[in-house]
Amino acid sequence: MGKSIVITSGKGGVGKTTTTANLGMALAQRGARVALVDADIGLRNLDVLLGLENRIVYDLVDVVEGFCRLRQALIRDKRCENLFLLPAAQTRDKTAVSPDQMRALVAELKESFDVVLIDSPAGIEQGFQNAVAGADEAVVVTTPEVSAVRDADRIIGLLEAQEFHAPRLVINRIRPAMVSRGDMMDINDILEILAIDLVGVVPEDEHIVVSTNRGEPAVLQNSSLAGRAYRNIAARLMGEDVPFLDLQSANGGLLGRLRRIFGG
Amino acid sequence: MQAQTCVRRHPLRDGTLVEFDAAASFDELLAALARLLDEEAHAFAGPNLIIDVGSRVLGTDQLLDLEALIRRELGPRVLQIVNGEADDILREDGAGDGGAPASLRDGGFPPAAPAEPAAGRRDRPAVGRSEAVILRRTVRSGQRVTCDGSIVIIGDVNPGAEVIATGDVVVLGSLRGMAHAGARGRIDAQVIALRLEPVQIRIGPCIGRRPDQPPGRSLRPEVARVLDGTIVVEPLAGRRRRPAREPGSDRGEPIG
Ligand SMILES: Nc1ncnc2c1ncn2[C@@H]1O[C@H](COP(=O)(O)OP(=O)(O)OP(=O)(O)O)[C@@H](O)[C@H]1O
Ligand SMILES: [Mg+2]
Repeated sequence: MGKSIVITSGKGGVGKTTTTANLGMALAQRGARVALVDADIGLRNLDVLLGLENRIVYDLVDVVEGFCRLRQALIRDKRCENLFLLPAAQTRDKTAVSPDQMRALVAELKESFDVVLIDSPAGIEQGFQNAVAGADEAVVVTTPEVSAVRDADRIIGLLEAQEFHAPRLVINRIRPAMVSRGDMMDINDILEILAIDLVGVVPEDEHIVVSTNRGEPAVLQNSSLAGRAYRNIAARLMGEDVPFLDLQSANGGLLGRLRRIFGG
Repeated sequence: MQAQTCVRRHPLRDGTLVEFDAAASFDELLAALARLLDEEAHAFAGPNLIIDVGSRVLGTDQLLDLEALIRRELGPRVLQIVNGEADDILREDGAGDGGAPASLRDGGFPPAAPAEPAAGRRDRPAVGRSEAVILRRTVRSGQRVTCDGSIVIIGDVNPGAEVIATGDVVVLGSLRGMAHAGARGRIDAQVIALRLEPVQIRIGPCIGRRPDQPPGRSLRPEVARVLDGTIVVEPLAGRRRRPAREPGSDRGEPIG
């Protein structure tokens, strides 16, 4: 029996889909059998980031409505044979699926996969309720901006109310130079408000833009710093104790701060 | 033997009521409660735990000890400390709606009664029927906690969160959201926080907002209260040294 993890955020555009695609690829490269579920129904995206759009025949709504079997709708990744995608429907909306149906669907996936990652839509409406319905754990993504952190806090409150007791945090698009100039919220500021465990910090990285356009997750490129950060997060999700990246080698600013947080 | 009988447990629909004997000392009560929790932890199901302390008034240290014991033995609970209301609660629970105790809600709050005349009696608790709700959690953006009586939050109140009480609001953590004390109009209510950095504070009918250029971080416990119709903030320590109503020169910073 595998475990299911929802990737969620509150505020839109902070990197949930990017995170889902990269963590999925990184986990699969470590040998886990991984299924990615695109729960952003009506705003299908994950297939594009993985370069699998042209292989879609059936989608998630077809499965819950009984038009096809789950196995028929799963698309195998072209680079990694143990990575699969269940795409969202593009021509339907969130009301096409209920939380109970999502719960059943994810339970079925957990029987044949080690990890099921669910890409949540932004917001706190039914799409969010659907995405979290079948999840055992939650990863909350935020960027270092006041509004994104506020919305992450809102989501964490909703997750706690639904008995997700330890949602974990990914801080995306951090720019070490701006942080050290004091122009960007630093990791301490964010953790002080959200008060949950940090599972990774992903830097702003041009590779992400390029890889999105090419349909090649950044973890596939060794030169990408964001890709390395995602590989580390994947390892931490599997229970490994990986030190945080030194995003600012000059004076160890960011790392120094992280050390203080983790007491190491 | 004696200690065994000085705490009594009554099951409620959504939790448990514990009655403290009036004659026992606090230490005896704590020890007896510890034993009861140890031996009968399974009987404390349900999210709510109400402790009726009779007519005694618990100090902050005692409240924290009690809270720590319960947290250690039972995990998180919605803990309510009430004074001599066991009979009412048991009756209410019999006829009740099965929800949380009426005095603690996440959500709407009954409309405020007309403001009472300025009381300014600082030596008395702000709420006549002295009752404190203790909540151990982070109150997050979009969440609202309302309480009929005073509330002690062990945790932070984040930006975008609201805490509203008819009595005092005490935050043993950072208060960065909105707090409203004396929500039915009492202007002698207070807001106290270890780090008082709210977006807005309301006390009774008065509203104070954070200056648009926020001052530096608050580094020590502070109290907000109403002086001459304005909400002022001053350090918590030392405020007893000076009569609160005297319009002294060392009055706190207005935040309104
Ligand atoms: N670390 C990063 N560095 C640079 N660009 C990034 C990074 N992370 C995400 N982006 C860019 O931000 C944009 C939004 O990312 P993404 O689609 O993953 O967000 P999302 O949270 O899934 O959005 P939505 O809420 O719309 O589903 C994309 O254009 C992506 O390329
Ligand atoms: Mg997305």
